[in-house]
Amino acid sequence: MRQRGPRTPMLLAAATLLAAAGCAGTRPPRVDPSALPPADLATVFDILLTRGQPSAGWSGTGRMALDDGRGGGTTLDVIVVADGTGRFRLQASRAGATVLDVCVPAPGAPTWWWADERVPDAARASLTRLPALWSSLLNQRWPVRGEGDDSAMSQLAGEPDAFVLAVPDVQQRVGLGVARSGDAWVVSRLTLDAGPRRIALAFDEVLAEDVAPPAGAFVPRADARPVDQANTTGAAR
Amino acid sequence: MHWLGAAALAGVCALGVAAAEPTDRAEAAAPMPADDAGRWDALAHRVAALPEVPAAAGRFTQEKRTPLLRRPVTSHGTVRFAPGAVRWDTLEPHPSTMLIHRGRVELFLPQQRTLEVFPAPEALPGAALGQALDVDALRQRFTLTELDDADGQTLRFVLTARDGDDQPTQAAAGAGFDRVALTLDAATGLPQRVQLDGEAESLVITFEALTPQPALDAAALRLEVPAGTKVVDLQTAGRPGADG
Repeated sequence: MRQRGPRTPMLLAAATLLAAAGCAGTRPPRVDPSALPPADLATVFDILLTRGQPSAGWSGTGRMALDDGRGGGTTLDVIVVADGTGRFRLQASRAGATVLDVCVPAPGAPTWWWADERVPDAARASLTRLPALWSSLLNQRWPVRGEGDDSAMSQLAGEPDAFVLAVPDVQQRVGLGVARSGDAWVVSRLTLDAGPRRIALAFDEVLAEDVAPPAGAFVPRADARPVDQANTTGAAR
Repeated sequence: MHWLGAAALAGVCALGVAAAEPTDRAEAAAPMPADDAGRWDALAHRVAALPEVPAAAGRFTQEKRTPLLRRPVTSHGTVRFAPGAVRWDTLEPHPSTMLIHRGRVELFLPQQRTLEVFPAPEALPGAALGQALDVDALRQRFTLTELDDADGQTLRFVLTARDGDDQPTQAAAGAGFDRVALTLDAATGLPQRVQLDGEAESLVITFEALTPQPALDAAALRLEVPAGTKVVDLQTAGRPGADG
């Protein structure tokens, strides 16, 4: 079954507000995670993952804002594709020209990376962790509270479909927005915070599909390099 | 969204071709030479016969096909050309305005209230936007694999990167395209369709109602942004090693 995701400007607006709050060094008020019944947390993870409707593929198109925390940054058009096995691809472009390409070609494989030299280095550390994060989401392996770690989730006040995760092993603060799409739920926005730096993805169209992504979706571009060999942006060109 | 590669390449063929003689369609429909050199000579002849168009305006649809998605990503908007400047106003799916002028690109994102400024691709033949289609420059970098004007209405030609020369790839805005197919209106020389093909992606820009306009000063296309707009100069920001 093909699920067409949200197109509402509200989501974009919310992401913008969220980003603005982060840039200003303030955070939206949140509900204390401990005040949320565990059942609610489980429900959140359920809804994130189109439970009951296994999806062979997932894709999202939208925009990604990179903020280096120093007044710089950029906004890129972005396509994200993932399947349930850990394969992942993120491609971002500015004015039609690809400036960033992140790919996990096979489950457990290193992340392959290519970036135009004008993509802030500050983005790299966060983006190279994104595939693992996404894989966890798609495979319902996100650490739920009570599984022996101190990850925590809270709900943004006034936004019943927005949550914040603090995940020690990712060393970042992760914000998630979810939206109902037919019978399924999909990730509509995602933010990664590392200190003053922030990456915010806001999707205006999300598709959970019952067929695998195209075969070529997880083929790294020819000039990409495994992330441990791409020691700086532009190095893998 | 905009596609800079297509935008710039569209600029290659859009404006300002040198000669003012009207196109002789009977002549244009002459048989095409079978060899590359002959085709280049024929293209140069056809281009020289195109009329001078000082400015143009119309609509565009851009379609990007990528192996990441089963369906293309499409955007729509309006475009205006003037000597030395091209302005793209994308209306859907995300409003934005891109002005290519004086060797740089200004990209305004109203939803983000941000203006990004970055250099126009230098290697691209179309970086000289609004100037004559430089057949000699193209000839150095591409093989002219097809040239067709048999219908008398259009002039279509296909450029393929020369083997072992990565310049054309860089020329296509760094987007990895190595084949360019252009279809021009044989009467005006204005583009009707531009297609860029790469190893994995293709980009098609189709123009609608693109018509010649009275001469415009490049200033007429000037991009004015609301007060409070954040200006990000990517000509200096985000350099390698600029990690914080």
